[in-house]
Amino acid sequence: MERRNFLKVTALAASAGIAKGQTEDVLDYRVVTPFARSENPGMPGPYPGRVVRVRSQNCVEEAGERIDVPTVKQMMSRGMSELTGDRDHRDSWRRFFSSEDTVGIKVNSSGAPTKMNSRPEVVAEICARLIDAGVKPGEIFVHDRNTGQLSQIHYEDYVPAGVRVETEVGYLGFDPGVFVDVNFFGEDDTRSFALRMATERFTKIINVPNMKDHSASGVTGCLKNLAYGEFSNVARSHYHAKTHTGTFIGTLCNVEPLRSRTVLQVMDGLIGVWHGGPFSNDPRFRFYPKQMLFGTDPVALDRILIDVIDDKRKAEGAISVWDRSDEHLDSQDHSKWAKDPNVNRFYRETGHIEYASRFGLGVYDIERIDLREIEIA
Amino acid sequence: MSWLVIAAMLPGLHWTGGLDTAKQLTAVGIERIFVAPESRSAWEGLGFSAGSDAQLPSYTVVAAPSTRRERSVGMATSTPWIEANGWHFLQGIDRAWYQEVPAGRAALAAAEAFSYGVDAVLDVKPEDIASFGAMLQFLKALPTGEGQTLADIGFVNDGSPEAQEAMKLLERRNLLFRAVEQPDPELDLNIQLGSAQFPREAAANPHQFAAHVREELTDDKRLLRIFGSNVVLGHVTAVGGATRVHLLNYGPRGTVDRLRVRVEGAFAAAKLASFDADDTAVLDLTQRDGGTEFTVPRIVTYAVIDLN
Repeated sequence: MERRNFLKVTALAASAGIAKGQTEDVLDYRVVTPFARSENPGMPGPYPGRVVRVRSQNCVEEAGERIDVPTVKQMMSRGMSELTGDRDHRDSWRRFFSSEDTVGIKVNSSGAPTKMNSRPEVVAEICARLIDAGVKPGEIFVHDRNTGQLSQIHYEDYVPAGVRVETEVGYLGFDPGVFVDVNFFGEDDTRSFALRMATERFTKIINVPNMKDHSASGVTGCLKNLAYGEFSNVARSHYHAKTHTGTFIGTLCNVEPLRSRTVLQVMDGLIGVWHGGPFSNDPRFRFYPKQMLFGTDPVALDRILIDVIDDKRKAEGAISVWDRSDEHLDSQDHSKWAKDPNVNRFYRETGHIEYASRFGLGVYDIERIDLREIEIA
Repeated sequence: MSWLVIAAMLPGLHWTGGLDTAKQLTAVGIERIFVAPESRSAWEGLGFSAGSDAQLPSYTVVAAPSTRRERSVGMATSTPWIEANGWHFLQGIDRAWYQEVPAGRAALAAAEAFSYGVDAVLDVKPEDIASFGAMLQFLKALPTGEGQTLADIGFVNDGSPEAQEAMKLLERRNLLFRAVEQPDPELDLNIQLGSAQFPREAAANPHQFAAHVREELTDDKRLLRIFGSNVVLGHVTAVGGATRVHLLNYGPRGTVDRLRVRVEGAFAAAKLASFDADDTAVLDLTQRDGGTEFTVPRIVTYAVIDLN
């Protein structure tokens, strides 16, 4: 691709409706990228608003958190076939990928090493499907930003031979020509650079988040996984009780070439976290949704995720992911939040998903989401 | 205007070891020492440039470079406080004594003083002698010449405690300033405590004060920006026709990789010298929006980039 230098300033108007009492300050985000949007960007892709949920009670054995690989294979096949309408799931994968592609699989490793990450068994199965579709193993990159977290999971022990497991430290670093410049809290380092492997190597990206609660962004699914995993210097957005995750996540997901190249969303909900996320330091807050979501629309998948996490929290007697009351906030003593699901560490910005929809990244309105349910015995 | 004589004098070592330690010092390239008056001539006889440590009380004692964490609020990231001396040196101190330099910090202290053109003497822990000597060799190899500190801001130094704290914070935020006696109309911003723009009471909170200064200056006008680390402090000098960027890594965790730097102005070439790092060239040199940007692959302690 010819790299043209141009500057684009993107800021959405703050006057649009805010979901469920969210407060919002839209900052002056300065987006710099030489990449133009493709004619048919990967997000929301060919299936806006469509979410396929595949459940199976057999996919994980709770006591040992052992994944049943044959069931995962079956879930993957059924989910992809339902998403695209192809009888043969291999045709579904071929709609997205070919032998010409270099594919980045963006996993979630922020729960490492305590088992709350994109399961290696799921990632390995995605790799196998890609190879089946003609992608060369050496052109598949399981990746994340954070080396310390990713390296603890040892995806290399699961994925097919030749598939690469990389972070910015070992491979290409960050792209100095693709960044978002914004000053949140007076920090001097105001730039978040994109992973260079994503801008220079990948032709396609598959996003593989988990089902997790998140202390700052409310929940963490497709949008958060992509935004905060493909860019540097992102934790600065949640520095104080009032964070900027509400607008930053969508802004990052909208940056090219990420938006155009991220063509498939596979949410691993075999195991989830209903409080204390994105980590899973306290196993009391882990649960077993036993499901996977498939789609091309990250907003629609994340909208479904909100209900999964919030329903579980309600069932446990915990405050909602929408609770932003001062009464439940303690940003000083993290140990309270870590132990008590009725304490928030930040004002939750669950509205980041609705905000992202305003960029056209997907469908937020639950009435317009085409949720297709599949149960595998 | 502040003129420096860059590399006129390499930092010296305050040394209490006996003459039998001479080989140890020579082996690592240490040539300039300060010793007890009675042994001075003996050391000179061994080829050293030996000063009397009785002179040291005339040097200004400065703190060793360090960092410390001050966790006050619940946060995903935090920026450590950095103990640095640039603010001190910019007030005209030309001789400094680093009396208590903890292990692992001697090379950084030497680089810090040298980068500001300050004649420094250090007390160095035995385990740091080799790294201190290596830094001296690195500094010695840098191109030299008369230099001028470059700045965006003139800080009218009234000597008050508030002014001292404010200057510390300006350095910490990489807001390049000169201490001046009168506002300098050639600079983008002048700070005079007690003025309408910068009321003295506003300096009571140095953090907020520095943030206010940054807003008044605006990031677009800043001579130097650093992206990718909150423990690297930088400053800029004009040396022998080149613009020299000095980057000092105060971080407690070793190296900083792939630091992105922006310098105001258009430069076609950049020459890198980075202590203890193998890299000899910057990466991704580009010009953007009136500035020149480049990546320094690795900073262990001190890196110098000469722009032409």
